[in-house]
Amino acid sequence: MKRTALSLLKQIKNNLILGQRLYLIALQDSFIFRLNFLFLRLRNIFFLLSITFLWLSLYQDGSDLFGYSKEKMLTYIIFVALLKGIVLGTKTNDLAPTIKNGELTFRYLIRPWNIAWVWFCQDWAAKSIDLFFLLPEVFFIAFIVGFSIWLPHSLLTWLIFIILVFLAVIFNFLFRFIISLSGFWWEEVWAPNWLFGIVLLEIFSGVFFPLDILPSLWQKVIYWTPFPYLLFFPVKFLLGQVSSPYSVILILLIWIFLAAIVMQNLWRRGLKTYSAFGG
Amino acid sequence: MKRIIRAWWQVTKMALIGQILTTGGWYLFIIGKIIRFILFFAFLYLVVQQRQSLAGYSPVKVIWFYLVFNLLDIATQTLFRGTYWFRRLLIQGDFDLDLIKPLPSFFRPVFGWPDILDFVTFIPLIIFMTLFALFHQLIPSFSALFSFLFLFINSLFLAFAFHLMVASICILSEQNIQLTWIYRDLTAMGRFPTDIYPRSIRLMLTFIVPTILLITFPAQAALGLLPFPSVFIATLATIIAVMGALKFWSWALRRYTSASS
Repeated sequence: MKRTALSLLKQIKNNLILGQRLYLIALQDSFIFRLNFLFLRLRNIFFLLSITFLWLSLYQDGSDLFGYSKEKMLTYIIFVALLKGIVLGTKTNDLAPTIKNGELTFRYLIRPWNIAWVWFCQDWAAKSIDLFFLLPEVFFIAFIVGFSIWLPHSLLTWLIFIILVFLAVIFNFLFRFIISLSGFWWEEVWAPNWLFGIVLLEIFSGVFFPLDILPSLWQKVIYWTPFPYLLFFPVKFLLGQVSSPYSVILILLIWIFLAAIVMQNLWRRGLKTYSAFGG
Repeated sequence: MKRIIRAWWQVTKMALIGQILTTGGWYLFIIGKIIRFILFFAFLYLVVQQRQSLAGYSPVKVIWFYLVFNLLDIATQTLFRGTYWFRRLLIQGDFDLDLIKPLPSFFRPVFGWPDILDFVTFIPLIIFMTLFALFHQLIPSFSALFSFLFLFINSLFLAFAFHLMVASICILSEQNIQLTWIYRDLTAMGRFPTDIYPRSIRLMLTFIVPTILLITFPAQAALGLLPFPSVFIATLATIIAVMGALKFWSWALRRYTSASS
């Protein structure tokens, strides 16, 4: 019994060391093309500027819009921009080409690694870079535009918010991993990634606008998908507009459970169809 | 010119054949494009409808800006997609093979990979735009229509100049520069009337990536809101940009060294 516990502890320790190393390598990889990296940051700024000024001009007369005051709408935009980096930032897009070009064999399959853990650690590199640069970018825009951000004071609210974000991070990882597994069967892995990982994920998670401005039938349809629970509901909760955060947590847990099952199944089936040619 | 058109038609056919061969992804791409278009359309209409105007434009006119942005975006994606693949051509050393062909040296980097998938959505968009303009009586006169068409073609030349500059930078730098994405993000700022931005940003959108010339001017021209001097300025700016881009390309090409082994 003692021996099993010790070996388990050792395994956890090894995984943590592996995770740390993978995280650092992924971090270094991101800075290989520095100029390109700078341009990527600029892209975020342009997007944020565009959305911010759109809402600012809509709020010129000062009255509320769709139940949002100007302050709350701008807080929504700022927090969605921040959460977009933390929740949606990922490196799992690289998994599909790795499967397609056969690198999966010698980079992952022959090593005693848990593949999901490897990509999860690399994901965190993408997320931490995004967060590190997004914070000053977002507050810089808030400063030049000159608006104040609405923040809740309750510690419990922040605690629940962190739980929601953490669950959203896990779901996003599983979901993007599942999309990348399409590389086992599809030649054109960019297509599902573009439709599900960019278009549907970004629009239905509320990156461009709060989903509750849409007609109620559209909202009902969108709420049946997992996407609104990644950004829209966590930020709405922070704004004090979600009465029952526990139902959001429960829905997220169900989606995580389902995604984990699908991921495991697809991974097993994918490995059965997988073949790579050496050279 | 005839030879270039013939070569372009040939690469377009090849691109089409390539995309038909791998049919797996095209329908997901089209579905994604349609969903994004409809949801953004609905969003713009809903928010502007609430206020009845955005920067002085009625909801219908705001939608018109969005449609013109989409039209130009699709047209440039269809025509100039080659720039996105040019770096790969360079690092594999295959650009040498294109330089010995009896075609302009910029043909392959800019026009080499027409994106037919984007073109699929082009025709329905034109039909929708025509119906939308007719239904809402947006275009007040033939001269406004003519100005719009003229400035739309002018915008294509301006976009060509930008893509050629990006291709030139690809030759000069070993970095995987995503300048085309910067171009796309800045032009995407033109999906709303650019009057919503403060002066400093409008200046950037005029002189760095001329989104205002590319999208706002044609959209305003169709609505009969663009004074004639602006048409002249846009034309002049395009001539200067195209000439500058061609000069820059020649200069960059002289510094090209093959990467092949």
